[in-house]
Amino acid sequence: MMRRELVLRRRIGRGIQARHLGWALVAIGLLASMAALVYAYNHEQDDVNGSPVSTRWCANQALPCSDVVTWSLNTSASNVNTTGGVPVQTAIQAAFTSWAQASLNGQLMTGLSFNQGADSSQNAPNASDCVNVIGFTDPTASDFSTGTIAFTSLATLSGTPPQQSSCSSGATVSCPLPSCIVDADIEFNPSDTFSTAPVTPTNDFDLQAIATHEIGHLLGIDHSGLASAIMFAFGDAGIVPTRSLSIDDVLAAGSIYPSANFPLTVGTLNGTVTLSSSGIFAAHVVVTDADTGAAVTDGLTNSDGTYSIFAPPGTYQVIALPLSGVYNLGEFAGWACGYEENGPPCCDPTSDPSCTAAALSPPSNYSGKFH
Amino acid sequence: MTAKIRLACLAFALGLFLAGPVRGTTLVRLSLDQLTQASSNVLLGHVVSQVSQWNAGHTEIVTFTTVSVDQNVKGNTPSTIVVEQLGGAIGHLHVKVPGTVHFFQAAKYELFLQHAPSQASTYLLVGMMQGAYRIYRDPRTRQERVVSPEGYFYQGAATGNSRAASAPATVPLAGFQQQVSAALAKPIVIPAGAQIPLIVRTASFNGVGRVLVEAQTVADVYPNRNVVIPAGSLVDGWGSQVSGRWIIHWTSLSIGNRQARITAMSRAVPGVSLPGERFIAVTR
Repeated sequence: MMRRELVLRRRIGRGIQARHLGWALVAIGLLASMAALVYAYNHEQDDVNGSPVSTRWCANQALPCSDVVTWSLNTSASNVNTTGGVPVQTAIQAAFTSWAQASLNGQLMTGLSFNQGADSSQNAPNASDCVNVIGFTDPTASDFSTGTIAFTSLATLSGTPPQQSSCSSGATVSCPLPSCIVDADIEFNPSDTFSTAPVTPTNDFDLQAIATHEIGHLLGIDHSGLASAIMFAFGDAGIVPTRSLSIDDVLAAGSIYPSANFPLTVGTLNGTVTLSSSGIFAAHVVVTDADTGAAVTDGLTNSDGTYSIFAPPGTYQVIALPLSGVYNLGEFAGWACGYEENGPPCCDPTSDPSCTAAALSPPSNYSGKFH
Repeated sequence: MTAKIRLACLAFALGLFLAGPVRGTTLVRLSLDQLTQASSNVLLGHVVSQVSQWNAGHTEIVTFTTVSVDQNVKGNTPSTIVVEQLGGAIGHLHVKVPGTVHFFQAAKYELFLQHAPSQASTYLLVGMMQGAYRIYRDPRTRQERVVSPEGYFYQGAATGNSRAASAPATVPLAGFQQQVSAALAKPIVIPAGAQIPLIVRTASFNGVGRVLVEAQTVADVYPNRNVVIPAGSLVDGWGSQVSGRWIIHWTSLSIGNRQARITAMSRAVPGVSLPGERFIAVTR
C-alpha cells in the first residue's frame, strides 16, 4: 500500500504557465478506493500509428481547421413535452449556444460556431452519410437498453493524413489531420419523455441539459469524472439538472477548439507523479479549488508520469490518485494480459524483470484494442 | 498523515461526488437493485473474441463480443453468449458511442444483460457500461475484486442526493456476489404514486361485462432508487363495464420473470375497444 501523500497548492496567474512541480504524490488507499476512475475531461481519441490522437471537426477543410459544425434536426419529436417551455428547436439551439459561448472570466474560450442545416427525416443514426442529425424516433430497439436516455454516435476517420472516405451520398470526405470527426448523430430514447419546461416534470428528462451533454460528445469530448460537469455520464431520478457548462467542460472544449483568448486566459499545471522515483502511468490528477475544495478539473498522467492540465487563474490543490490494482498499464496498452489465473500478469516489462508480457511502444493507448 | 491532509482528502472525495447538481446525462444511474431487476440474465464470464461489422443497412458499425459463460447468476444462457454494442472500428473509420464498454480480451466480468431483439443468444448490457463489472485479481492479496463501472459503487436506498451513498471503486467479488444475491431475493415493491404508461395488448372475455386485460409498459419508469420498470414489462388486470365504459383494475406487474402486486385503476372512453388503448396507470 502506498502511504506517502502530499497536497500541493499552486497559484496560476493569467497567462502564466505553472512550472514543473517535480513532486511525488500518492494518496491513501481510502481515497484511491473512493475516487472516480480514469475520467477527466477527456477527448475522444484515435490510435494513429500507436499513439493516441484527439479527434475534432476538420474534415474537408484546409489547415488551420475552422471551428464550424453543421447540424440538422428531425423535427418529429412527439416525446418532447413543451408545455410551459420552449419549442424543441429552441431548446436544441440553446444547447449549441452553450458550447459556442463557452467562457471563462468573460472571455470566449472556443472559436466554435454552429450552422443549422435543413431539417432531416433520418430516424436512426447513420455513420456513413456525413450528415449530423439530432432525432427522437430511432426505432432500433437494441440502441437503447434500460437506463439509456440518449446517445451520440461519433464517426471518426483516422490515420496518416490525408485519409479519405466516401459518404453514402457518394461524396468524398478527406481528413487533413491524424483524426477527424466525419459524422455525428444524436438519438434521444423514443421511450423516454423529455421536457423543455424550466422545472422538469416528474418522470421527464430535461431536453436542453441532455442535448448539451450529447453535443459535447458531438464535439469530440468524452465523459468526465466530475459530477459538476455537464459531461458527467450519470443522473439520478428526482434531481433537477442544470444546463450550463462547468469549468471542466469549458476547458475541454477550449483545449480542442481554442479561441485566441484561450492560451491567454488559462494556465497549465505541469508536473510528474512518481512513486519510488518512477513515474506512474495513468494516475488520476484532480485539481481542486483551494478555498472551497470543489473539484475544478482533472487529468491523467502520461506514460512517464507527467501531466499537463489547463486551469483558469486561481489557487488550487492538486491531488493524485493511484490506479494501481484497478487499472494496469497493460490494459491501457491493449496487452492481452487481462485476467488469467495462470496467464501472464499485467506488468511493465521495462521496469519489472519478472514481467513476461510483450512491451508496447508507446504504452499510451488509453482505448486498448477492444471496443 | 496529518489531520489537515486527511480533511483535505475527505473534502476532495466528497467534493468529487457531491459537487453541485447533476448536469446533462446520457444514463440513468441504476442501483444494484435496479440492475438486477432490469436484467434477464446476470452471469460471470470471460471475453473470448470480438468482431465489429457494418449493419445490414451499412449505416452503423456494431460490435459483437463473445463471452464464455463461467456461471449463471440469474437466468440460464448457452455456454457462450454474444454482447451487442453500437460502435466499433473498421479500417480507418471508428464509430464511438460514449457509454459503451471497452472490453478487455480474456478479462473476466460480471455482466447484467437483457435480451437483444435481434438474435436469441445476443444480449445488451443493461444501462450500457453500468452492466459490466470487470473482475481482476489483486496482485498483492490474490483476492478477486470487481471494479465498479462508475468508478464507485452505488448501494441504493439513499434519499435525496444519492451520491452520498457512494462506496469504494472496487470491492471483493465474494462480497459483491452477496449483494447481487440479496438484490435478487428482494421483493419488488412498486411505490404508490408511480406513473406507468402502458398500452393494452389483449382483452379477453371473462364473463358478462368483464374482461381480463394484458398490457405492456411503453417507457422505462424509475419510481425510486430501488425499482425500475423497463419498457415492455407486462401489466395484468381486469376490466368491467360500467355505463358503457371500461374501468380497468391493474393488479400485477411482471419485471422479467418476477411479479409485483400493484393497485391502480384506469377509465376508458365509452365505446372504445381496449386493445391498442394507452393509459397511464397511477399506483395507489
